[in-house]
Amino acid sequence: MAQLPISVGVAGANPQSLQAVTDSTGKATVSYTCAAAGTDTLQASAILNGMSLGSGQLTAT
Amino acid sequence: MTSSPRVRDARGAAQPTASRARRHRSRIVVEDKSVPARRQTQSTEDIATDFYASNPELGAIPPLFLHQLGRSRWSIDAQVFQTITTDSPLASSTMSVNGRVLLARGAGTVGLRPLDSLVLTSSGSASHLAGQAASFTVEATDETGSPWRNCR
Repeated sequence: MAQLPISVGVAGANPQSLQAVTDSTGKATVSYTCAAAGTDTLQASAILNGMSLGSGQLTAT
Repeated sequence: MTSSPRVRDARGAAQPTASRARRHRSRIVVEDKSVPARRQTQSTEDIATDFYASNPELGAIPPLFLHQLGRSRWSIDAQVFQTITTDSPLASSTMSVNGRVLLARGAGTVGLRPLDSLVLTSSGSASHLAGQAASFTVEATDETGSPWRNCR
């Protein structure tokens, strides 16, 4: 069963955009390598039923 | 022959009575016609409280359709309304006289669904060191807390 495409934006020391798809449990895992030391702020977003939905921001230090 | 009553002042001069004095009294009304009455229109700010969608994607909807939708009046067929109010959980619905349909929550009414949830958490260690991989988990759930599925 096709699940939900997720986009995770990373801003800060390692800016990039990560893509993933949720599994049958509704979860998706993304990972990236911290090329530069510093603080990153992540926020996931997805389109659910035609509406843009965003998560809360997560700070990784 | 009777004379009219007179009062005298300190010098002995006759003065008209009080009743005569009142007849000579005139009322002065001052009207400032140099300043005409002005009608002023003041703007007020009304804050709507009936928002039910936060950030819908409207980019694909033609603006003309949205305009026509906003200007339109919804009407409902009487039979359809009766079906809704008698054969559905919206049994306590009411209808106002101006044609607008007001839906009240019945005992079995689910009501508006809350927004789906998207939660981002860190699935790795708390450290965020250069050269190491950082993993994060995104969990999408529907209004019941179950995993979100796009086939429903």
